[in-house]
Amino acid sequence: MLDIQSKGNQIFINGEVDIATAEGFEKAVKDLVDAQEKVIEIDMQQMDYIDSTGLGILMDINKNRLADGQKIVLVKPKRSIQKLMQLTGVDKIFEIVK
Amino acid sequence: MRGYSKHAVILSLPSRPEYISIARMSVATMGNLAHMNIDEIEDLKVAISEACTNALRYGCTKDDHYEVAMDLRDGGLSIEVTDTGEGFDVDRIKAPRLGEQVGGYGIFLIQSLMDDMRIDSVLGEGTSVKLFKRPELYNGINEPAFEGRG
Repeated sequence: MLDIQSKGNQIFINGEVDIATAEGFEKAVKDLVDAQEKVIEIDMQQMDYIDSTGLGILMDINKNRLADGQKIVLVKPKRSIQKLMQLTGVDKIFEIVK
Repeated sequence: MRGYSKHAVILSLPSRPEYISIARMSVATMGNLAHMNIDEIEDLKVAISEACTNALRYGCTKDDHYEVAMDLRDGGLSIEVTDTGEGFDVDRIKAPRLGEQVGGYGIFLIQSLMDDMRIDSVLGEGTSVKLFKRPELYNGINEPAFEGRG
């Protein structure tokens, strides 16, 4: 189950991001990137879970889609998600607001 | 993991993404029964999800089922995810370049989060991913800690 709400430059994620829900997550982030938002905030306070599929989407967008001056900020991911970000090196790529 | 204990739970899941959450919910319950803490249960959820995702991506056709077996044994939780797909050469698994490559983190995450992982794959026959994790506060008793509960 995944609910995604967008407001301005923010995306609010509620639920689980995995292979079943990754497509909607990817579209929501890409929509804001394509809207030329300078700073894209992904609010993860209500994100229960993300796996390597979801983290891969973020890495792919960061590597291949962001324009100069654009950045993605990850806001308040849960401790278990922060752990995955550390393991995979995602925490070195994105600004994370804890 | 064949030769299950009396505590084994065996699921046959359709090879469709929307059913992986069933494996996650089930492993959370099994982790709780194995007296794992919340952090350890989160690790289990990620590991089983990655193993199931690999079964879907590389092991099964769309109309297949694959098997997820969970067993409380040796003071911890054993998990085996088995598909009957094409199989692959296990020696071709490479460690990911952390933070650089976009994909290929699934096996790495499983290895990082579990105490033990083994992959057996036979080309043309399928793949079995075996995982094991023991709770940090392992009580040294070989039988599952919940043995004897009602």
